[in-house]
Amino acid sequence: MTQWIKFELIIRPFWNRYGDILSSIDGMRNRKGVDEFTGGGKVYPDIVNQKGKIKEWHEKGTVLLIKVNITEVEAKEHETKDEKLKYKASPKIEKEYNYKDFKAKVLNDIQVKKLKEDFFGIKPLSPESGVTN
Amino acid sequence: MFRSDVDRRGFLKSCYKIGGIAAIMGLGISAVEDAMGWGILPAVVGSGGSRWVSWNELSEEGLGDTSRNFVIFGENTSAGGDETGLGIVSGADLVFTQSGNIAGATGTPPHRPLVSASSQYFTFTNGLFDATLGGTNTWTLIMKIADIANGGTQLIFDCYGDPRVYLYKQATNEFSAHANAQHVGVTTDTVTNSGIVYFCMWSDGVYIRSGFKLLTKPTKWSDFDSGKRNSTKVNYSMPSWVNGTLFINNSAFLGDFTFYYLVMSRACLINNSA
Repeated sequence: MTQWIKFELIIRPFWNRYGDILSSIDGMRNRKGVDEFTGGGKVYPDIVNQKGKIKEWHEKGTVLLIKVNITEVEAKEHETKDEKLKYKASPKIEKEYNYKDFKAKVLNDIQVKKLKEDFFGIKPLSPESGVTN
Repeated sequence: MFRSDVDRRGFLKSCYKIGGIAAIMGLGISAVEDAMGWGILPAVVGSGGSRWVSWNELSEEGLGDTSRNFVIFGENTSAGGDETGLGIVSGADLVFTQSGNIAGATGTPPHRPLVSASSQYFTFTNGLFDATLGGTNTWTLIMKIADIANGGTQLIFDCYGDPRVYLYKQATNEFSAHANAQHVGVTTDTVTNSGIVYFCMWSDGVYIRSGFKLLTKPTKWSDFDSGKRNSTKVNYSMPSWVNGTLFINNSAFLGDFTFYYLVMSRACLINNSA
């Protein structure tokens, strides 16, 4: 049995060579020892690591929609799960968050269809000349 | 040290007026690169091509510069982390945004696996496209990967829009490169599905050429076996980006491979005469 679950992913910050979180990277060139920066990306709910159970994956910005092979009860548990967690925002800074911050929501087929079309813009992509499948 | 690029530019300009090239060189390679990029110094100290030839592929600093070259490694050790490159652009244009919770980098040189089943890909900005490929008839794209899966259309590098520029492995495993319909090269040889491979396309204002090379970094036309390369005689200036999405691993034609690095340059890094 498969369920659709939508999550709001958590944005990771960029940080400088001292491990301090940057509010902006505008104008920075990432030169070693001068204005280097790294980091960025997103924090995902643990369920995404259960590769064999995930049947479809749609991601745009901070919105993740997955089709996962679990029961309805298991899926609903993600909506109510209340667990304090931490992620590494930089080498020296850990940030706390709650599983609730992912705002998990189990969606029905109609809601999924609408989200796919309206938000993800899922329609067949037509490869241009030279691309064959 | 400087409040802005304007301050640094003014400082380098003054140095050049007082002490000439020697004064700039005395400030280190980043000052030379900035001075060249800002037009204070003529771009004579090390061409893009010569830096590519001597580069040991172990650091972005060895190739990226502020006037021509951009390089980005798959080196972020955090799962779900973006990548930050080095070179001709700044700020958000240096960032390749990941999707799909891509595993963190491992190894030396570092590399990250991209998995199609998890819809894993990077996107980058049109600012980077315009700074490297846009509005020039000399440019280079080189992508070093490993262990690309057998079969399936795998658009490992794709500027999917207008203009259209891509490097990909066909379902039948040949390498195909496309430069906005000016060059459409499909090799006769197929790409092996294990080990290192370099996917390349470049333009020197006379030819647009493409090819793939196994194991070691190509630096000249003759490094590509005859069945692994293609050439079109055309002097074509690539237009600036209009619209679309810029991918490493197009989300609609996902590949499975290990990403090492991508080089984008507004110089021709491959020697066409050798």
